[in-house]
Amino acid sequence: MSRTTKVHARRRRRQWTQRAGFALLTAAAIATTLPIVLIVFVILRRGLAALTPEFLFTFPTDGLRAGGIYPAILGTIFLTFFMTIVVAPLGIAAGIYLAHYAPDNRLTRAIRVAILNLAGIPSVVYGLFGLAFFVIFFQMGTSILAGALTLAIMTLPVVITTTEEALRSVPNSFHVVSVSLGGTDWQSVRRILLPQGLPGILTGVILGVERAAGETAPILFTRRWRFLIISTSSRPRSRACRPKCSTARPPSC
Amino acid sequence: MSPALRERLVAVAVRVAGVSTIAFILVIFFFLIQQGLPALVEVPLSDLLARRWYPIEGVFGLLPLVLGSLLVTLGATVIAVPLGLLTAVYIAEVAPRPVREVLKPFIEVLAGLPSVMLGFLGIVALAPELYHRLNLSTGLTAFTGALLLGWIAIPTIVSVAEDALDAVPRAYRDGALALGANHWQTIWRVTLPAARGGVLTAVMLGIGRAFGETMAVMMVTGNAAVMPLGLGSLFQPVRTMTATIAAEMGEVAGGSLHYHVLFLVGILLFLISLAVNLVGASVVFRARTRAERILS
Amino acid sequence: MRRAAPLLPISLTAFVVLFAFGCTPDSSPGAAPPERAIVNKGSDTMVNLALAWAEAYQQVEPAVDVSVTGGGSGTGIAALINGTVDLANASRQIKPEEIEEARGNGIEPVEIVVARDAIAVIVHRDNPVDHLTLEQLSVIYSGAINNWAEVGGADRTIVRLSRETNSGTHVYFLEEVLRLGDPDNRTLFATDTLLLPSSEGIAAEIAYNENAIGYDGLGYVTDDMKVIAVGQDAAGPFFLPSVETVNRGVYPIARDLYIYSPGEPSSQARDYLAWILGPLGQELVASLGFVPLEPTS
Repeated sequence: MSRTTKVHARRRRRQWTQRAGFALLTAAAIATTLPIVLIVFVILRRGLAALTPEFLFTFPTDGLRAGGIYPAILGTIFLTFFMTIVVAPLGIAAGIYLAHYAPDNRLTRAIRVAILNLAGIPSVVYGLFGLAFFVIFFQMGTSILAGALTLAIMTLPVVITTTEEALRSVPNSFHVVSVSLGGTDWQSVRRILLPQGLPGILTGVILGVERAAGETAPILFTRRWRFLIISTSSRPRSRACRPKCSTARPPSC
Repeated sequence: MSPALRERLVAVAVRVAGVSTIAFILVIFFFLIQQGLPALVEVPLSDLLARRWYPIEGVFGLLPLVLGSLLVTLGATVIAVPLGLLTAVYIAEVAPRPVREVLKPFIEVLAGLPSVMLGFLGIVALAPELYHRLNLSTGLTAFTGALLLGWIAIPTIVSVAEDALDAVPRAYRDGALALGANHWQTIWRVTLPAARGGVLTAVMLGIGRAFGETMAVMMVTGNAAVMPLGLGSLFQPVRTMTATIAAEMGEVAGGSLHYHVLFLVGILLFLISLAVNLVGASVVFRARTRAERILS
Repeated sequence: MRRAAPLLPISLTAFVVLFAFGCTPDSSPGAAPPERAIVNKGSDTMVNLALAWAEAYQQVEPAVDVSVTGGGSGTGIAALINGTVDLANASRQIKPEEIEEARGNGIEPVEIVVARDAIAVIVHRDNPVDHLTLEQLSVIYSGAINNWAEVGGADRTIVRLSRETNSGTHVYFLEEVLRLGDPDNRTLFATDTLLLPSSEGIAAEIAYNENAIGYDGLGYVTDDMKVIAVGQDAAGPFFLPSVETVNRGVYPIARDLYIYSPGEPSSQARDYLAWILGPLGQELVASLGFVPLEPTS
C-alpha cells in the first residue's frame, strides 16, 4: 500500500471515529435530557388538574388526604425567606473576601477546603447538626428558625463559590482604573465590582435558594415533617404561624 | 465614619465571613462528635461491626448500612460519570449554539428538581417498570436507587465539567487544529486533559451528591438491612446510612443509645465525604500543577 | 447597586404582608399554649383520627382549640413524660419503664382506651392465597419460608413488606405475630424485609408486586389490595378484619388505641374525651376505618 493510501486510510478512520464519537456524545446528551422532558410532562399531565386556588390556599382536611397545602406553602416561604436573609450577606461577604481581599496563604487554602467540605456533607448530616446545635444547644426547639439556619449553612458553599466566580470574571482593569482615580478599595468593590458581578451573584443566591427549597432531609428533625400544627378552626389566621409544616409531602412519601 | 476606618471594618468583616466557613466545619464536626461519641463508648466495637441492624432491640451492626451506601453510590457513579462527562463534552464542544442555549438551562432545571419528587416518581413509575421488565422479585432495589441517584447526580457533574471545559483557552484548541488534529482528537487529547482539574472536581462533587442523597434513596431502595455481598445483591433491596438516619431519627428518644448511634452514623457519613473530598482535592491539585507544567 | 435598592423594601413589604396573613406570632418557642387549648400529640397511626376528632369537636366547642401533631407513639409518650402535652395518643401500651420515668417527674399516666385497630394482612389482588394462620405469618415474616408455594400459593418468592422499626404498628406486629405474643421469643423480622417509610409506600408496592405481603392498620387498606383472613390454627375458622370480628374478639391481630393523660385530665380534656367516647366520636372512628368501641352504658 502506498504512503498516500495509508494516510488517506488513516484519515478516513479518524473521520469515522469522529462521527461515531459525536453520535455517542449526542446520544448521551439525549439520555440525560429526555427523562426531564418526560418527568415534566408526566407531572403536568397528572397533577395540573389538582392545581386549583383552593388547593393552594386552604388547609388540609380529612387527615391530610384532602383539602389544600396552604400551611406547607407558607412554611416553605417563611423557611426560604429566613434562610436567604442569613445566607446572602454572609455568603456574598465571604465571596468578596475570596475574590478580592484574601492573600494567597495557608488560611485561604484552608477556607477553600472548608467550603468544599461544607458542600460535600450529606444533607441528612446537616439535619443532625441542626438538631444538636440549634434545636438542642441553642434551645430554639423544633422551629422554622432552626430549620432556616441549618439550611443557610448548607447553602453557604454555593453562594460563596458563585459570588467569587462572578467577581473574578469582572476584568481586573475596572478595579485598577477605579483605584487609580482615587477610590478606596471598598469603594471600588462596592460601586464597580459588585454591580458588575451582580447577575452572577444573584444567580448563585437563587440557585442556592432553589436547592434549599426542595430539600427535605436537613429539616426533617429541626422541624418534624409529619408534624403539622393545623388550626382546627377554618379561620386561616389563628395558628398558622407556628407553621411547623415543611416542604416535604404529607405522609404519602 | 472616616474612610480609613470604614476600609478597616470592611476588610475585617469580609475576613470574618470567610473564616466563618472553617468555623462552621469545626462546629459541625464538634457537635456530631459530642452527640455520637457516647455510642462508641457504650456499644462495643464488635457489636458495631456486626451484620445485623435492628435498633429497637439494641442490635447496632453498621456493616449492612455502610455496604448499602457504598453499593448504591458505586452504581450511581457508574451511571452518572460517563453520562455526565459525555453530556458535558457534548454541550461544551459539539452542540451547535442554539442547542446549547436550550440544553444548559434544561440541565439546571434537572438540578433543581426536589429529590422527594424524584423519589415519589421512582415509587410510582420506575419501580413497577423495573419489576416487570427485569423480572425482579421487587422493584425496590439497590439498582433502582443507583439509577435514580445517578441521574440526580448528572446535572452536578455536567455544570461543573462544562464550566471547566469552557475555561480552556481557545489557543489550545486552535493550536491543536492548526497542527492537523481533527475536532474529536482535540477534545480527547488536548481540551479534556487541560480541563482535568475541573473535570475531576465535577466527578467528586457528583459522587458526593449521590453518596449524600437521602429522600429519593429512602423511597426506592426498600430499606432492608441486608448485607449486600455479590453482584446479585444489586437487584435486591438495600438500606443506606442516609435513609437510616432519616427514617429512624424522627421517633427516637433524645439521649437514648439509638439516638447516639444515629449520630455515629452521621459522623461516619461526614468522615467518608471528608475523605473523598480531601483525596479529590489533592488529586485535582496535583493534576492541575502537572498539567500546567506540561502546557506552559 | 442603585438599581437593586428598591428590591429590599419591596421584599420586606411582601414579607410583612404575608406574615400578617399567616399568623398571630407566638411569644417564644417553648411557651405554654393558651388556656383554651388542648395539645394532642403522638401516634401516627392515630393522627388522622385525632385530626378528624379535632376538626369535628371544633364545631361542637368552638372556643376550645385542639392542636394535633403526629411523630409516633414514642414521641407522644415522651411528651407525656416531660409534661408538655395534655393528651398523648398511642397505638401501643405505655411501657413499665416509661411509667416509672413519668412518676419520676411527678406525673401519673392515666390510660383511656378510645378505639380499636385491626392489623390487616394484605397481598396483591391476584394472589391466590386466601387465608393464613398466625403461625404461618410468623414463619413467613421471620424468613423461614420464602416461597408462596409453601403456604398454598403460586411458585413465587415472598417479598415481605413492613413499616419502619419506629412505628407502633411494626412493634405490635413483632410482638403479637412474629413472636406469637410470647415475651421470651426473640424472633426477628427477616433481614430482607422491606421497611417502607409510610403506609402509602406499602400500598404502592402491593398494588403492582404479586410477590408481596404486607401489613398495616385497617384504615389504610384500599380497594386495590386483597386482605388475607387470619386464624389461630390450620383447621380453625379464619376471619377477615372488620368492626364485627374485632369487637367480638375473634380477629387475632387487633389492638387497643389509647389516649394517655398526665394525671387526671383537666375539665376541658375530660369533656373532649367524653365526646370522643360518645356516639359522635366513635362514628368518626368507624368512618376512618378503625374499630369503634362497643357502646357501654
